[in-house]
Amino acid sequence: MPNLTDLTTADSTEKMIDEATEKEMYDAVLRKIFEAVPELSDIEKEVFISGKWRRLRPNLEDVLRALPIGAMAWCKARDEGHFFGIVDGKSVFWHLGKPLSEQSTECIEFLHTLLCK
Amino acid sequence: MTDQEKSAAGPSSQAGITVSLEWAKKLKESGYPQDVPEEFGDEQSRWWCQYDDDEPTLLWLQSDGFNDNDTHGEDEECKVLYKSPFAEEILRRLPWKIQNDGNAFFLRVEPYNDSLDVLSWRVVYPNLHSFTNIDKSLANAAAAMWCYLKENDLISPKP
Repeated sequence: MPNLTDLTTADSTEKMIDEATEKEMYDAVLRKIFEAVPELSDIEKEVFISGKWRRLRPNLEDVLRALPIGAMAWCKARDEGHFFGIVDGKSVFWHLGKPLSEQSTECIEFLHTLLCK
Repeated sequence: MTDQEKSAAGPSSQAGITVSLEWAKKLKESGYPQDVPEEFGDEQSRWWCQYDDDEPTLLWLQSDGFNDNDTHGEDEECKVLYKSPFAEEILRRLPWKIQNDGNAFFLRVEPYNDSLDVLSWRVVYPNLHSFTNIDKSLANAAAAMWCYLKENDLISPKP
């Protein structure tokens, strides 16, 4: 029977792997968006706002530009403050006004499935 | 590049993803709110402004004043003309659903490739009406829908 220390170590390791996977997925999605929106690589990706560095893009428009041609790519408002991106019957929340870097893990996974597989 | 220089690069990097001067005028005339929703914050704040006889220029307005990359001196007065919202702010202010004759119509944003394979945008409520505006700028397309709804009493400004 594993003791508490073993469980904590296992959880911690699993979390590190998850974070690494998430980072890889984010980077892969970002590369695809940069390919589709070349001007993104020519602009400042971070600006200093309210005491911290923030990325403003990729935004929703950049992401939609990167979607595969011919895909049923469209968005439908689902709730105030959110946007519902739907492709081939699947869907995910996009938080309006927030860049890709501030979207949910679920959203990044969804875009990774669309753009990178 | 210094922090100040990077900061100044912000407004110019956003050019083209907020509404044009023309649509900014139409939005204001239609009663579009001239403030910035709290959840969007300073980084989403753009205004068409004018210095003396100059052509209006797009500036970034932070809560503590202008933060732009222009070359005007401090003694030159800038007149704020029109708010120039990002597409996502207009989408946030559009109703996500319109009820009409017992049916619900949902807001949709569609990428649209024309015959020359140039990507444009449609912001529509499918099957609700025939109005559609196709624009290369998502912000302008969203602004067109906002103005249409306002002109037809299908929308009221959100706080």
